[in-house]
Amino acid sequence: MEWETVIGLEIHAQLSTHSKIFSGSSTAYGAAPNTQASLVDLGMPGTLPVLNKKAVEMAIRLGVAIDAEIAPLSVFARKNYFYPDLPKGYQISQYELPSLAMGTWILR
Amino acid sequence: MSKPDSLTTLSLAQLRDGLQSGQFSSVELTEAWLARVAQFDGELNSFISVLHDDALAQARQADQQRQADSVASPLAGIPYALKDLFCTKGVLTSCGSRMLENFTAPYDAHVASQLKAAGAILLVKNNMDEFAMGSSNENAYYGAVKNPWNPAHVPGGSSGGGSAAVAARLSPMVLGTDTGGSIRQPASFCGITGIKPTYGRVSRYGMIAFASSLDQCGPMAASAEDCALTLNSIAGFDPRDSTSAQAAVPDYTATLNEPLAGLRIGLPRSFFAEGLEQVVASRIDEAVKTVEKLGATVKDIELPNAHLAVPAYYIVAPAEASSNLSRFDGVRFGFRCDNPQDLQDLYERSRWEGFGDEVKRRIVMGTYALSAGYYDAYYRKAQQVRRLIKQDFVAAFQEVDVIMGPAAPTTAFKLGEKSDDPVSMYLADIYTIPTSLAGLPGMSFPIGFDPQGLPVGMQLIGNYFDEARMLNVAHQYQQHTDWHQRVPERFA
Repeated sequence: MEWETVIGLEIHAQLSTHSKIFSGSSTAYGAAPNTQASLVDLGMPGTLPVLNKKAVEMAIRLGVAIDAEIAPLSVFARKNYFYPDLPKGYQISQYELPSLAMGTWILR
Repeated sequence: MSKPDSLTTLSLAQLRDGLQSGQFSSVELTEAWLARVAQFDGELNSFISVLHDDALAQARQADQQRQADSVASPLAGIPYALKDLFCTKGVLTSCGSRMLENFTAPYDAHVASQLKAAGAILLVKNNMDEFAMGSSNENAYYGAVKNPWNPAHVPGGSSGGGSAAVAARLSPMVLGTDTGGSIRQPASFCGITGIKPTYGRVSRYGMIAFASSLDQCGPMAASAEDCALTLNSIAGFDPRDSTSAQAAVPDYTATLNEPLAGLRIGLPRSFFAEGLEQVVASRIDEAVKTVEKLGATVKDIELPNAHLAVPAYYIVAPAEASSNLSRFDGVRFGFRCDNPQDLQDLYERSRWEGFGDEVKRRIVMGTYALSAGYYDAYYRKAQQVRRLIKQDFVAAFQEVDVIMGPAAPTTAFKLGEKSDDPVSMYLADIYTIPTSLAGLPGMSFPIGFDPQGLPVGMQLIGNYFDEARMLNVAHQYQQHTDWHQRVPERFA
Protein backbone atom coordinates (compact mmCIF):
# COMPACT_ATOMS: atom_id res chain seq x y z
CA MET A 1 0.00 0.00 0.00
CA GLU A 2 1.27 3.44 -0.90
CA TRP A 3 0.58 6.46 1.28
CA GLU A 4 0.81 10.12 0.36
CA THR A 5 1.79 12.36 3.23
CA VAL A 6 -0.39 15.46 3.59
CA ILE A 7 0.25 17.59 6.66
CA GLY A 8 -1.98 20.39 7.89
CA LEU A 9 -0.77 22.86 10.48
CA GLU A 10 -3.03 24.67 12.95
CA ILE A 11 -1.07 27.74 13.85
CA HIS A 12 -2.02 29.86 16.83
CA ALA A 13 -0.58 33.34 16.49
CA GLN A 14 -1.10 36.06 19.05
CA LEU A 15 -1.78 39.42 17.46
CA SER A 16 0.14 42.32 18.93
CA THR A 17 -2.97 44.28 19.88
CA HIS A 18 -3.04 46.34 23.08
CA SER A 19 -6.36 44.90 24.18
CA LYS A 20 -8.10 41.53 23.93
CA ILE A 21 -10.09 40.52 20.87
CA PHE A 22 -13.53 40.82 22.53
CA SER A 23 -12.93 43.20 25.43
CA GLY A 24 -10.97 46.30 26.32
CA SER A 25 -8.78 44.44 28.83
CA SER A 26 -5.04 44.86 28.41
CA THR A 27 -2.96 42.08 26.89
CA ALA A 28 0.28 43.32 28.48
CA TYR A 29 2.50 40.52 29.73
CA GLY A 30 3.59 40.41 33.37
CA ALA A 31 0.82 42.32 35.13
CA ALA A 32 -0.47 41.21 38.54
CA PRO A 33 -3.02 38.36 38.53
CA ASN A 34 -6.67 39.31 37.94
CA THR A 35 -5.86 42.86 36.90
CA GLN A 36 -6.52 42.22 33.22
CA ALA A 37 -9.79 40.29 33.45
CA SER A 38 -12.92 42.32 32.82
CA LEU A 39 -16.57 41.42 33.37
CA VAL A 40 -16.74 40.45 29.71
CA ASP A 41 -13.72 38.13 29.98
CA LEU A 42 -15.25 36.50 33.05
CA GLY A 43 -18.43 35.75 31.14
CA MET A 44 -20.55 37.60 33.68
CA PRO A 45 -24.29 37.31 32.97
CA GLY A 46 -25.48 40.20 30.81
CA THR A 47 -22.10 41.10 29.34
CA LEU A 48 -21.52 41.17 25.58
CA PRO A 49 -18.39 40.85 23.44
CA VAL A 50 -17.25 43.77 21.31
CA LEU A 51 -14.87 42.91 18.49
CA ASN A 52 -11.45 44.60 18.53
CA LYS A 53 -11.22 46.62 15.32
CA LYS A 54 -7.42 46.45 15.33
CA ALA A 55 -7.54 42.64 15.34
CA VAL A 56 -9.68 42.68 12.19
CA GLU A 57 -7.29 45.13 10.53
CA MET A 58 -4.36 42.87 11.36
CA ALA A 59 -6.17 39.84 9.98
CA ILE A 60 -6.84 41.71 6.74
CA ARG A 61 -3.18 42.76 6.53
CA LEU A 62 -2.21 39.11 6.86
CA GLY A 63 -4.73 38.29 4.13
CA VAL A 64 -3.16 40.85 1.80
CA ALA A 65 0.31 39.51 2.56
CA ILE A 66 -0.58 35.92 1.69
CA ASP A 67 -2.89 36.78 -1.21
CA ALA A 68 -5.94 35.35 0.56
CA GLU A 69 -9.57 35.83 -0.29
CA ILE A 70 -10.73 38.47 2.16
CA ALA A 71 -14.39 38.09 3.05
CA PRO A 72 -16.53 41.22 2.66
CA LEU A 73 -18.92 39.66 5.18
CA SER A 74 -17.40 37.64 7.94
CA VAL A 75 -19.25 35.89 10.75
CA PHE A 76 -18.35 34.72 14.23
CA ALA A 77 -19.91 31.52 15.52
CA ARG A 78 -20.15 29.90 18.91
CA LYS A 79 -18.50 26.56 19.53
CA ASN A 80 -20.41 25.21 22.51
CA TYR A 81 -18.94 22.80 25.04
CA PHE A 82 -18.56 22.59 28.79
CA TYR A 83 -15.10 22.96 30.26
CA PRO A 84 -13.94 24.58 33.51
CA ASP A 85 -11.66 27.07 31.76
CA LEU A 86 -14.48 28.25 29.51
CA PRO A 87 -16.60 30.72 31.50
CA LYS A 88 -19.37 31.18 28.91
CA GLY A 89 -19.64 27.56 27.84
CA TYR A 90 -18.64 28.43 24.29
CA GLN A 91 -15.72 29.75 22.32
CA ILE A 92 -16.31 32.61 19.92
CA SER A 93 -14.74 31.39 16.71
CA GLN A 94 -15.16 31.54 12.96
CA TYR A 95 -16.62 28.67 11.00
CA GLU A 96 -18.63 29.23 7.83
CA LEU A 97 -17.53 32.74 6.85
CA PRO A 98 -14.02 33.38 8.18
CA SER A 99 -12.28 36.68 7.60
CA LEU A 100 -9.81 35.09 5.16
CA ALA A 101 -9.39 31.88 3.26
CA MET A 102 -7.28 30.28 0.53
CA GLY A 103 -4.13 32.28 1.12
CA THR A 104 -0.78 30.86 0.05
CA TRP A 105 2.74 31.26 1.29
CA ILE A 106 5.45 29.32 -0.45
CA LEU A 107 8.31 28.23 1.79
CA ARG A 108 11.69 28.12 0.14
CA MET B 1 -48.78 74.70 47.61
CA SER B 2 -51.06 71.84 48.53
CA LYS B 3 -50.06 68.23 48.10
CA PRO B 4 -52.24 66.01 45.96
CA ASP B 5 -54.37 63.47 47.89
CA SER B 6 -52.31 60.58 46.67
CA LEU B 7 -48.85 60.80 45.18
CA THR B 8 -49.21 57.31 43.79
CA THR B 9 -51.98 58.16 41.32
CA LEU B 10 -49.89 60.64 39.36
CA SER B 11 -48.33 60.12 35.93
CA LEU B 12 -44.59 60.49 35.40
CA ALA B 13 -45.16 63.91 33.87
CA GLN B 14 -47.21 64.99 36.90
CA LEU B 15 -44.58 63.60 39.25
CA ARG B 16 -41.90 65.51 37.37
CA ASP B 17 -43.90 68.74 37.54
CA GLY B 18 -44.75 68.27 41.22
CA LEU B 19 -41.10 67.68 42.11
CA GLN B 20 -39.94 70.63 40.03
CA SER B 21 -42.48 73.01 41.55
CA GLY B 22 -41.72 71.79 45.07
CA GLN B 23 -45.22 70.37 45.75
CA PHE B 24 -43.59 67.30 47.23
CA SER B 25 -40.10 65.90 47.68
CA SER B 26 -38.54 62.78 46.27
CA VAL B 27 -38.29 61.37 49.79
CA GLU B 28 -42.05 61.83 50.27
CA LEU B 29 -42.66 60.24 46.91
CA THR B 30 -40.39 57.29 47.61
CA GLU B 31 -41.96 56.74 51.02
CA ALA B 32 -45.43 56.81 49.47
CA TRP B 33 -44.56 54.18 46.87
CA LEU B 34 -42.73 52.02 49.43
CA ALA B 35 -45.80 52.15 51.64
CA ARG B 36 -47.96 50.97 48.77
CA VAL B 37 -45.58 48.13 48.04
CA ALA B 38 -45.68 47.07 51.69
CA GLN B 39 -49.45 47.33 51.82
CA PHE B 40 -50.33 45.46 48.64
CA ASP B 41 -47.56 43.31 47.31
CA GLY B 42 -48.39 40.40 49.57
CA GLU B 43 -51.45 39.86 47.39
CA LEU B 44 -49.64 40.06 44.06
CA ASN B 45 -46.09 38.78 44.58
CA SER B 46 -44.88 41.19 41.91
CA PHE B 47 -41.49 41.89 43.47
CA ILE B 48 -38.39 39.85 44.27
CA SER B 49 -36.38 42.59 46.02
CA VAL B 50 -37.43 45.87 47.62
CA LEU B 51 -34.56 48.35 47.91
CA HIS B 52 -35.97 50.25 50.85
CA ASP B 53 -32.87 51.94 52.32
CA ASP B 54 -31.01 52.42 49.04
CA ALA B 55 -34.09 54.01 47.50
CA LEU B 56 -34.53 56.47 50.37
CA ALA B 57 -30.84 57.35 50.30
CA GLN B 58 -31.07 58.04 46.57
CA ALA B 59 -34.22 60.09 47.13
CA ARG B 60 -32.49 62.28 49.72
CA GLN B 61 -29.66 62.79 47.25
CA ALA B 62 -32.13 63.68 44.49
CA ASP B 63 -33.77 66.27 46.74
CA GLN B 64 -30.41 67.84 47.59
CA GLN B 65 -29.39 67.94 43.94
CA ARG B 66 -32.69 69.52 43.00
CA GLN B 67 -32.04 72.38 45.40
CA ALA B 68 -28.55 72.89 44.01
CA ASP B 69 -29.42 72.43 40.34
CA SER B 70 -32.41 74.18 38.83
CA VAL B 71 -32.53 72.12 35.62
CA ALA B 72 -33.18 68.53 36.67
CA SER B 73 -33.68 65.63 34.29
CA PRO B 74 -37.36 64.71 33.81
CA LEU B 75 -37.03 61.44 35.75
CA ALA B 76 -34.92 62.87 38.61
CA GLY B 77 -36.25 61.78 41.97
CA ILE B 78 -38.93 59.49 40.52
CA PRO B 79 -39.07 55.85 41.68
CA TYR B 80 -39.18 52.97 39.21
CA ALA B 81 -38.72 49.19 39.06
CA LEU B 82 -36.60 46.81 37.01
CA LYS B 83 -37.35 43.29 35.92
CA ASP B 84 -34.96 41.08 37.86
CA LEU B 85 -32.84 40.22 34.83
CA PHE B 86 -31.18 43.63 34.62
CA CYS B 87 -27.88 43.52 36.46
CA THR B 88 -27.76 45.97 39.36
CA LYS B 89 -24.51 46.54 41.22
CA GLY B 90 -24.55 45.11 44.71
CA VAL B 91 -28.16 43.94 44.40
CA LEU B 92 -29.59 40.46 43.86
CA THR B 93 -30.13 39.81 40.14
CA SER B 94 -31.93 36.47 40.17
CA CYS B 95 -33.49 36.21 36.71
CA GLY B 96 -36.35 34.58 38.60
CA SER B 97 -34.29 31.42 38.96
CA ARG B 98 -32.82 29.23 41.66
CA MET B 99 -29.72 29.27 39.44
CA LEU B 100 -29.08 32.94 40.31
CA GLU B 101 -30.72 33.05 43.72
CA ASN B 102 -27.30 33.91 45.18
CA PHE B 103 -26.08 36.19 42.37
CA THR B 104 -25.29 39.77 43.31
CA ALA B 105 -24.31 41.51 40.11
CA PRO B 106 -20.96 43.34 40.20
CA TYR B 107 -22.11 46.02 37.74
CA ASP B 108 -25.11 47.99 36.49
CA ALA B 109 -26.87 47.20 33.22
CA HIS B 110 -26.75 50.03 30.68
CA VAL B 111 -30.38 50.97 31.25
CA ALA B 112 -29.93 50.92 35.03
CA SER B 113 -26.95 53.24 34.79
CA GLN B 114 -28.80 55.50 32.33
CA LEU B 115 -31.72 55.84 34.73
CA LYS B 116 -29.37 56.29 37.68
CA ALA B 117 -27.64 59.09 35.79
CA ALA B 118 -31.06 60.61 35.11
CA GLY B 119 -31.69 60.59 38.86
CA ALA B 120 -34.47 57.97 38.83
CA ILE B 121 -34.74 55.87 41.97
CA LEU B 122 -34.67 52.09 41.78
CA LEU B 123 -37.38 51.02 44.20
CA VAL B 124 -37.83 47.33 43.53
CA LYS B 125 -36.91 44.48 41.24
CA ASN B 126 -39.79 42.63 39.67
CA ASN B 127 -40.76 38.99 39.66
CA MET B 128 -40.67 37.27 36.26
CA ASP B 129 -40.83 33.94 34.48
CA GLU B 130 -37.52 32.16 35.00
CA PHE B 131 -34.93 33.47 32.50
CA ALA B 132 -37.86 35.29 30.81
CA MET B 133 -39.29 32.02 29.49
CA GLY B 134 -43.04 32.02 29.86
CA SER B 135 -46.29 33.80 29.11
CA SER B 136 -48.01 33.65 32.50
CA ASN B 137 -45.39 34.31 35.17
CA GLU B 138 -46.06 30.81 36.50
CA ASN B 139 -42.59 29.47 35.57
CA ALA B 140 -41.41 31.40 38.57
CA TYR B 141 -38.98 30.21 41.22
CA TYR B 142 -40.19 33.09 43.42
CA GLY B 143 -43.81 32.05 42.97
CA ALA B 144 -46.57 32.99 40.54
CA VAL B 145 -47.67 36.62 40.20
CA LYS B 146 -51.40 37.43 40.43
CA ASN B 147 -53.29 39.69 38.06
CA PRO B 148 -54.46 42.79 39.99
CA TRP B 149 -57.76 42.78 38.05
CA ASN B 150 -58.56 39.28 39.31
CA PRO B 151 -56.14 37.33 41.49
CA ALA B 152 -57.36 34.01 40.08
CA HIS B 153 -55.88 35.04 36.71
CA VAL B 154 -52.31 35.33 35.47
CA PRO B 155 -50.69 38.72 34.74
CA GLY B 156 -49.07 37.41 31.55
CA GLY B 157 -45.35 36.94 31.15
CA SER B 158 -42.53 36.99 31.22
CA SER B 159 -42.56 40.61 32.51
CA GLY B 160 -45.61 39.72 34.65
CA GLY B 161 -44.27 41.18 37.88
CA GLY B 162 -43.74 44.52 36.19
CA SER B 163 -47.15 44.60 34.48
CA ALA B 164 -48.94 43.67 37.72
CA ALA B 165 -46.97 46.33 39.63
CA VAL B 166 -47.92 49.08 37.19
CA ALA B 167 -51.57 47.96 37.00
CA ALA B 168 -51.87 48.03 40.81
CA ARG B 169 -49.93 51.32 40.90
CA LEU B 170 -47.14 49.85 43.01
CA SER B 171 -44.60 51.50 40.71
CA PRO B 172 -45.10 54.44 38.34
CA MET B 173 -42.92 52.84 35.67
CA VAL B 174 -40.98 49.63 35.17
CA LEU B 175 -38.54 48.33 32.61
CA GLY B 176 -39.32 44.95 31.15
CA THR B 177 -37.88 42.87 28.35
CA ASP B 178 -39.55 41.37 25.32
CA THR B 179 -38.20 38.42 23.35
CA GLY B 180 -41.42 37.07 21.84
CA GLY B 181 -44.01 39.27 23.52
CA SER B 182 -42.90 39.54 27.14
CA ILE B 183 -43.69 43.26 27.40
CA ARG B 184 -46.75 43.42 25.13
CA GLN B 185 -48.69 40.35 26.28
CA PRO B 186 -48.47 41.14 30.03
CA ALA B 187 -49.25 44.81 29.29
CA SER B 188 -52.36 43.58 27.49
CA PHE B 189 -53.36 41.20 30.32
CA CYS B 190 -52.91 43.88 32.99
CA GLY B 191 -54.41 46.86 31.14
CA ILE B 192 -51.26 48.98 30.98
CA THR B 193 -49.11 50.51 28.23
CA GLY B 194 -45.83 48.88 27.22
CA ILE B 195 -43.51 49.27 24.26
CA LYS B 196 -40.92 46.90 22.85
CA PRO B 197 -38.68 49.19 20.81
CA THR B 198 -36.97 48.25 17.54
CA TYR B 199 -34.28 45.61 18.03
CA GLY B 200 -31.12 47.62 18.72
CA ARG B 201 -32.89 50.78 19.93
CA VAL B 202 -31.92 50.13 23.57
CA SER B 203 -28.63 48.55 24.65
CA ARG B 204 -28.83 44.99 25.95
CA TYR B 205 -25.62 45.36 27.99
CA GLY B 206 -26.27 44.01 31.46
CA MET B 207 -29.57 42.38 30.52
CA ILE B 208 -29.20 38.65 31.14
CA ALA B 209 -29.57 37.10 27.70
CA PHE B 210 -32.38 34.75 26.70
CA ALA B 211 -32.34 34.88 22.87
CA SER B 212 -29.77 37.43 21.74
CA SER B 213 -31.20 38.12 18.28
CA LEU B 214 -34.63 38.94 19.75
CA ASP B 215 -34.21 40.36 23.27
CA GLN B 216 -35.09 44.02 23.69
CA CYS B 217 -35.73 46.21 26.72
CA GLY B 218 -38.62 48.62 26.98
CA PRO B 219 -40.76 50.63 29.38
CA MET B 220 -44.14 49.66 30.86
CA ALA B 221 -46.26 52.35 32.48
CA ALA B 222 -49.79 53.66 32.74
CA SER B 223 -49.69 55.71 29.54
CA ALA B 224 -47.91 56.22 26.23
CA GLU B 225 -46.68 59.60 27.47
CA ASP B 226 -44.97 57.93 30.45
CA CYS B 227 -43.40 55.35 28.13
CA ALA B 228 -42.15 58.18 25.89
CA LEU B 229 -40.55 60.01 28.82
CA THR B 230 -38.80 56.82 29.86
CA LEU B 231 -37.67 55.82 26.39
CA ASN B 232 -35.99 59.23 26.08
CA SER B 233 -33.66 58.21 28.91
CA ILE B 234 -32.79 54.66 27.83
CA ALA B 235 -32.65 54.67 24.01
CA GLY B 236 -29.48 55.18 22.04
CA PHE B 237 -26.16 53.72 21.00
CA ASP B 238 -23.99 51.98 23.58
CA PRO B 239 -20.50 50.92 22.49
CA ARG B 240 -20.75 47.90 24.82
CA ASP B 241 -23.56 46.37 22.73
CA SER B 242 -22.53 45.87 19.10
CA THR B 243 -26.17 45.36 18.11
CA SER B 244 -27.28 48.69 19.54
CA ALA B 245 -28.15 51.08 16.73
CA GLN B 246 -26.30 54.28 15.86
CA ALA B 247 -29.57 55.89 14.70
CA ALA B 248 -30.33 59.28 16.28
CA VAL B 249 -32.77 59.29 19.20
CA PRO B 250 -35.63 61.77 18.80
CA ASP B 251 -37.41 63.38 21.75
CA TYR B 252 -40.30 60.92 21.97
CA THR B 253 -42.44 63.42 23.88
CA ALA B 254 -42.11 66.14 21.21
CA THR B 255 -44.47 64.47 18.71
CA LEU B 256 -47.08 63.04 21.10
CA ASN B 257 -49.60 65.72 20.19
CA GLU B 258 -49.23 65.52 16.41
CA PRO B 259 -52.68 65.13 14.85
CA LEU B 260 -53.53 61.73 13.37
CA ALA B 261 -55.12 63.15 10.20
CA GLY B 262 -53.91 61.11 7.25
CA LEU B 263 -52.43 58.30 9.35
CA ARG B 264 -52.63 55.02 7.41
CA ILE B 265 -53.46 52.00 9.56
CA GLY B 266 -53.06 48.42 8.35
CA LEU B 267 -55.13 45.58 9.76
CA PRO B 268 -53.61 42.15 9.13
CA ARG B 269 -56.69 40.09 8.26
CA SER B 270 -55.01 36.86 9.38
CA PHE B 271 -54.78 38.27 12.94
CA PHE B 272 -58.58 38.41 13.11
CA ALA B 273 -59.26 34.83 12.04
CA GLU B 274 -59.69 31.60 13.98
CA GLY B 275 -58.28 31.56 17.50
CA LEU B 276 -59.08 35.18 18.40
CA GLU B 277 -61.57 35.57 21.21
CA GLN B 278 -64.69 37.41 19.97
CA VAL B 279 -64.63 40.02 22.72
CA VAL B 280 -61.03 40.94 21.89
CA ALA B 281 -61.98 41.33 18.23
CA SER B 282 -64.92 43.56 19.17
CA ARG B 283 -62.86 45.82 21.42
CA ILE B 284 -60.26 46.20 18.66
CA ASP B 285 -62.95 47.14 16.13
CA GLU B 286 -64.14 49.84 18.52
CA ALA B 287 -60.61 51.15 19.16
CA VAL B 288 -59.84 51.26 15.44
CA LYS B 289 -63.06 53.25 14.90
CA THR B 290 -61.96 55.72 17.57
CA VAL B 291 -58.65 56.24 15.79
CA GLU B 292 -60.48 56.58 12.45
CA LYS B 293 -62.56 59.38 13.97
CA LEU B 294 -59.29 61.17 14.73
CA GLY B 295 -58.54 61.24 11.02
CA ALA B 296 -56.81 57.94 10.30
CA THR B 297 -57.64 55.70 7.38
CA VAL B 298 -57.78 51.93 7.58
CA LYS B 299 -56.94 49.21 5.08
CA ASP B 300 -56.52 45.45 5.19
CA ILE B 301 -53.03 44.08 4.73
CA GLU B 302 -51.62 40.61 4.21
CA LEU B 303 -48.83 39.03 6.21
CA PRO B 304 -48.76 35.74 4.31
CA ASN B 305 -45.99 34.11 6.36
CA ALA B 306 -47.05 35.23 9.82
CA HIS B 307 -48.58 31.81 10.56
CA LEU B 308 -45.05 30.36 10.44
CA ALA B 309 -43.81 32.67 13.17
CA VAL B 310 -44.53 30.56 16.26
CA PRO B 311 -42.81 27.41 14.96
CA ALA B 312 -39.83 29.44 13.68
CA TYR B 313 -39.58 31.25 17.01
CA TYR B 314 -39.55 27.98 18.93
CA ILE B 315 -36.46 26.96 16.97
CA VAL B 316 -34.59 30.28 17.09
CA ALA B 317 -35.28 31.32 20.69
CA PRO B 318 -34.51 27.97 22.40
CA ALA B 319 -31.43 27.49 20.18
CA GLU B 320 -29.99 30.82 21.27
CA ALA B 321 -31.05 30.23 24.86
CA SER B 322 -29.35 26.85 25.00
CA SER B 323 -26.07 28.55 24.14
CA ASN B 324 -26.62 31.65 26.30
CA LEU B 325 -27.48 29.59 29.36
CA SER B 326 -24.47 27.31 29.11
CA ARG B 327 -22.45 29.71 31.30
CA PHE B 328 -24.60 28.64 34.25
CA ASP B 329 -22.55 25.56 35.00
CA GLY B 330 -21.86 25.78 38.74
CA VAL B 331 -18.22 26.75 38.20
CA ARG B 332 -17.94 30.52 38.65
CA PHE B 333 -21.24 32.03 39.69
CA GLY B 334 -24.75 31.03 40.53
CA PHE B 335 -26.06 27.79 41.97
CA ARG B 336 -23.73 24.88 42.65
CA CYS B 337 -25.01 21.47 43.75
CA ASP B 338 -23.94 20.03 47.10
CA ASN B 339 -20.97 17.65 47.21
CA PRO B 340 -20.18 17.24 43.51
CA GLN B 341 -18.42 13.92 42.96
CA ASP B 342 -16.55 14.99 39.84
CA LEU B 343 -16.75 17.58 37.06
CA GLN B 344 -19.52 15.78 35.16
CA ASP B 345 -21.58 15.47 38.32
CA LEU B 346 -21.02 19.18 39.10
CA TYR B 347 -22.34 20.18 35.69
CA GLU B 348 -25.25 17.76 35.62
CA ARG B 349 -26.63 18.30 39.08
CA SER B 350 -25.96 22.06 39.23
CA ARG B 351 -27.96 22.53 36.04
CA TRP B 352 -30.60 19.91 36.87
CA GLU B 353 -31.25 21.37 40.32
CA GLY B 354 -30.67 25.05 39.44
CA PHE B 355 -32.97 25.36 36.42
CA GLY B 356 -36.75 24.93 36.41
CA ASP B 357 -38.69 22.66 34.05
CA GLU B 358 -39.52 25.15 31.29
CA VAL B 359 -35.92 26.37 31.11
CA LYS B 360 -34.70 22.78 30.86
CA ARG B 361 -37.31 22.03 28.17
CA ARG B 362 -36.03 24.93 26.06
CA ILE B 363 -32.37 24.05 26.61
CA VAL B 364 -33.11 20.52 25.37
CA MET B 365 -35.06 21.76 22.33
CA GLY B 366 -32.42 24.34 21.49
CA THR B 367 -29.47 22.02 21.92
CA TYR B 368 -31.18 19.49 19.64
CA ALA B 369 -31.88 22.12 16.98
CA LEU B 370 -28.24 23.24 16.98
CA SER B 371 -26.64 19.80 17.22
CA ALA B 372 -24.31 18.67 14.46
CA GLY B 373 -26.18 17.83 11.28
CA TYR B 374 -29.45 19.47 12.36
CA TYR B 375 -28.38 23.11 12.05
CA ASP B 376 -29.37 23.32 8.38
CA ALA B 377 -32.68 21.58 8.93
CA TYR B 378 -33.76 23.70 11.90
CA TYR B 379 -31.92 26.90 12.82
CA ARG B 380 -31.00 27.91 9.27
CA LYS B 381 -34.49 27.12 7.99
CA ALA B 382 -36.07 29.08 10.83
CA GLN B 383 -33.84 32.05 10.00
CA GLN B 384 -35.02 31.83 6.39
CA VAL B 385 -38.65 31.84 7.52
CA ARG B 386 -37.78 34.83 9.65
CA ARG B 387 -36.54 36.70 6.59
CA LEU B 388 -39.82 35.98 4.78
CA ILE B 389 -41.81 37.32 7.73
CA LYS B 390 -39.68 40.45 7.76
CA GLN B 391 -40.23 40.94 4.01
CA ASP B 392 -44.00 40.72 4.54
CA PHE B 393 -43.81 43.57 7.05
CA VAL B 394 -41.49 45.63 4.84
CA ALA B 395 -44.01 45.29 1.99
CA ALA B 396 -46.91 46.20 4.29
CA PHE B 397 -45.14 49.33 5.49
CA GLN B 398 -44.97 50.55 1.89
CA GLU B 399 -48.71 51.09 2.17
CA VAL B 400 -49.39 51.86 5.82
CA ASP B 401 -47.78 53.81 8.67
CA VAL B 402 -48.72 51.56 11.57
CA ILE B 403 -50.32 48.14 11.97
CA MET B 404 -53.02 47.43 14.52
CA GLY B 405 -54.23 44.12 15.87
CA PRO B 406 -54.62 42.06 19.01
CA ALA B 407 -51.70 41.77 21.45
CA ALA B 408 -52.97 38.39 22.63
CA PRO B 409 -55.73 36.02 21.48
CA THR B 410 -57.59 36.19 24.80
CA THR B 411 -57.78 38.21 27.97
CA ALA B 412 -55.80 36.95 30.98
CA PHE B 413 -56.39 33.24 31.50
CA LYS B 414 -56.68 31.53 34.87
CA LEU B 415 -53.70 30.48 36.96
CA GLY B 416 -52.98 26.84 36.20
CA GLU B 417 -55.15 26.82 33.07
CA LYS B 418 -52.28 26.34 30.62
CA SER B 419 -49.36 25.43 32.84
CA ASP B 420 -49.50 21.73 31.87
CA ASP B 421 -49.80 22.43 28.16
CA PRO B 422 -46.70 24.16 26.79
CA VAL B 423 -47.98 24.39 23.21
CA SER B 424 -51.18 26.15 24.23
CA MET B 425 -49.06 28.47 26.40
CA TYR B 426 -46.75 29.21 23.44
CA LEU B 427 -49.79 30.26 21.36
CA ALA B 428 -50.47 33.08 23.85
CA ASP B 429 -47.75 34.96 21.92
CA ILE B 430 -49.03 34.23 18.42
CA TYR B 431 -49.60 37.92 17.55
CA THR B 432 -46.46 39.32 19.15
CA ILE B 433 -43.91 36.83 17.85
CA PRO B 434 -44.00 37.90 14.15
CA THR B 435 -42.99 41.44 15.16
CA SER B 436 -40.17 40.10 17.32
CA LEU B 437 -38.79 37.91 14.54
CA ALA B 438 -38.81 40.92 12.20
CA GLY B 439 -37.05 43.11 14.81
CA LEU B 440 -39.85 45.68 14.56
CA PRO B 441 -41.16 47.80 17.42
CA GLY B 442 -44.48 46.82 18.96
CA MET B 443 -46.57 48.13 21.79
CA SER B 444 -49.73 47.28 23.67
CA PHE B 445 -52.16 49.70 25.27
CA PRO B 446 -55.52 49.16 26.98
CA ILE B 447 -58.73 49.52 24.94
CA GLY B 448 -61.44 48.24 27.27
CA PHE B 449 -62.56 45.20 29.20
CA ASP B 450 -64.20 41.83 28.66
CA PRO B 451 -67.46 40.95 30.47
CA GLN B 452 -65.44 39.46 33.36
CA GLY B 453 -63.76 42.82 33.94
CA LEU B 454 -60.40 41.76 32.53
CA PRO B 455 -58.51 44.27 30.35
CA VAL B 456 -58.14 43.96 26.58
CA GLY B 457 -55.02 45.28 24.87
CA MET B 458 -54.38 46.53 21.36
CA GLN B 459 -51.09 45.81 19.68
CA LEU B 460 -49.61 48.62 17.61
CA ILE B 461 -46.74 47.69 15.31
CA GLY B 462 -44.54 50.40 13.82
CA ASN B 463 -41.89 50.59 11.16
CA TYR B 464 -38.22 50.31 12.13
CA PHE B 465 -37.19 53.09 14.54
CA ASP B 466 -40.65 54.66 14.27
CA GLU B 467 -41.41 54.48 18.00
CA ALA B 468 -42.22 58.20 18.04
CA ARG B 469 -45.16 57.65 15.68
CA MET B 470 -46.45 54.67 17.68
CA LEU B 471 -46.32 56.63 20.92
CA ASN B 472 -48.05 59.52 19.16
CA VAL B 473 -50.90 57.24 18.00
CA ALA B 474 -51.34 55.62 21.41
CA HIS B 475 -51.17 59.00 23.16
CA GLN B 476 -53.83 60.48 20.90
CA TYR B 477 -56.05 57.46 21.56
CA GLN B 478 -55.46 57.96 25.29
CA GLN B 479 -56.38 61.64 25.02
CA HIS B 480 -59.82 60.53 23.84
CA THR B 481 -60.36 57.50 26.12
CA ASP B 482 -59.72 56.78 29.77
CA TRP B 483 -59.02 53.02 29.78
CA HIS B 484 -55.39 53.68 30.68
CA GLN B 485 -56.49 55.55 33.82
CA ARG B 486 -58.57 52.68 35.18
CA VAL B 487 -57.17 51.03 38.29
CA PRO B 488 -58.52 47.78 39.78
CA GLU B 489 -60.97 48.63 42.57
CA ARG B 490 -58.93 46.81 45.17
CA PHE B 491 -55.91 49.03 44.43
CA ALA B 492 -57.65 52.33 43.68
